[in-house]
Formats: sequence, C-alpha cells, structure tokens
Amino acid sequence: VGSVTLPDASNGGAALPMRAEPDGLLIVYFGYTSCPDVCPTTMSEVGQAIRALPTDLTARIDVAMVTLDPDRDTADRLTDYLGHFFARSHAVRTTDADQLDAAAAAFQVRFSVEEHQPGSDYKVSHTAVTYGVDETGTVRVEWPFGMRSDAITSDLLILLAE
Amino acid sequence: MNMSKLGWSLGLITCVLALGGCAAPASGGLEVSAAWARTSPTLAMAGAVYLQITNSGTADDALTAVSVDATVAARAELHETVATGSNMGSSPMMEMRPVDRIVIPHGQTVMLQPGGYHVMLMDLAAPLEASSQIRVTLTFEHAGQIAVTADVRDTAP
Repeated sequence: VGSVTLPDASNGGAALPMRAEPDGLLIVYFGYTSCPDVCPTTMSEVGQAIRALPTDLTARIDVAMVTLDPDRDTADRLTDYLGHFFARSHAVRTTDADQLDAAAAAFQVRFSVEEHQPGSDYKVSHTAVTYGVDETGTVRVEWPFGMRSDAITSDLLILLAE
Repeated sequence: MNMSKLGWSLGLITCVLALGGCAAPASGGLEVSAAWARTSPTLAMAGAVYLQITNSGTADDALTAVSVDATVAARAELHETVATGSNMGSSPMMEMRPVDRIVIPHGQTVMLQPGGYHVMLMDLAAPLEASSQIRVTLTFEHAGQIAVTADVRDTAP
C-alpha cells in the first residue's frame, strides 16, 4: 500500500503516503464519524493500546483514519473526532471518489454508502480492520474488529522491537 | 460480567422503578445493569449506550423502544451491528441496522455491547462527557418502562 497517497486534511491537505516513517509504524483505519458503535470502539481500543506503550515507542507510531463519508466528515469534524482518541493523528479525507476507491482497494477495504436523500441520515457499511503499515508500505498486521487494546499493545511491542 | 458496585445500585434503582419495590418480581423480574455510554467527540452527532438485561422471571419479554431526554439527543433507536459477507476468508462488512425488538428470554441475560446490539443516540444535543451520566428509558413489551442511568466513560468497562 506504500504507493498510495491521500490528502491529510489535518495538515492542510498535504499528500500523506500510506507508509510509516523510518523505524515507525503507521496505523490506518477506514471509517466515518457518524458511526456510533464500530468506529469509536475501534479508535478507543487503538488509542488505549498506544497510550499503554513507553513514550519512546509511542513517538514512533502515527495514526491515520481515512473517512469513507467525506460528504459529512468535513476536515474539521474528522480532525476533532481523531483528537478525541489520539494525541497525534492524521485526518485523511479525499472528495475524489476514484482516489478513495483505489486506496480502499489497495487495503482490501470494502464499503458501501446507503442510498439516501440529500440532507437525510444514512449509514455506511464497511469492513472494520485496522492496519499496521511499516516504512516500506507493507501491511504487517491486521487487527479485526473486536480486538481489545492489550492484544494490540502486545502486537505493537513485537513490531516496534524489530 | 463484573457486577460493580454501580451495577448493583443501578440494578436496585431499576428494580424499584419497574416494580415499585423489589419484593415481588411479578412483572417479569427484569434487571437492567452495567449501563454505560461512550464519550463523544465534540462535533460528533451520534453516540451509543450499552447495557445488560437479565430476565429472571418465568416468561420471555422484549425490549421494544428506547428514549432519552431531548437535552441528551434528538432521538434514540435500538440498533444492531451485524457482520456480513465474510465468505472466502475476506473480512466482514460491519453494517448497522435498526431493530424493532430485542427478545429477552426468561432465565437469560442479553448484552447490548460494542459490535452487537446498542442504543444509538442520534443528533446529540451536547457532547457526552466523561464522568457525567445520562438517563435512558427502556420500554419492554411486558415489564413496561424501566429507566436506567448510564455512566459516560472513555473506555469500555
């Protein structure tokens, strides 16, 4: 997935490559902020997992959430949302549907936006895997929905010890 | 399930509200406990409440509706997160569906928990903040209304 770049809305839309900094790990999740159950559950567990690490390791981790609902998830809303769970994070948002589709396909993310009238509420169904990407852009770990933070922490310790 | 002190006190409160006293569990013996809601980001519109319902009565009951005060959210609905389409080893899609009723079989405990049933709060009036509490009213087919207090917290208990 290292060849994928997406706009980082929390950094003025600068291109964010889907690979970690040298010696780091980039945690990537595709979701949307109007999702009350699956997304906040996942973000909360991942946030707890990162906070449980020693600070020198925390500094090597970046988190990016890619919104599957750019219509409602403005840059501000997504940035605010992530700030609730993480000290540092990337709010990734593209309004180019083809670019989003290509990025999702690279991660094997599937999603479907419910048909809706403009202005009415709707849901987005999506796979809810959290990915850990290394500096070469290789997905090193996939955490399925429902992973508890202590299991994620132990995976992070192993990956960052390499 | 860890039956915290809070869980007990909530259980007692609901018991009192539902039955007008805990001595006669004639209306089905439903106990709602361990209610909590996740804190919500400042600009978020949606929230979720989780809890467990134990039916120690002799007949099944069903949760059919839920409501909150307008100072919490404009609407509350019963929802279920369902994992679909995980054939051929691919990851499932997580899909949210409204549900009309959640059966609470007698002698069993039904959990509303992350990734399953939950109370969805829509159009939050204000962010759900840690250490606060919200009041949720559950309506059951037989037991009628039971009000519970949910603790707002950052992380799952």
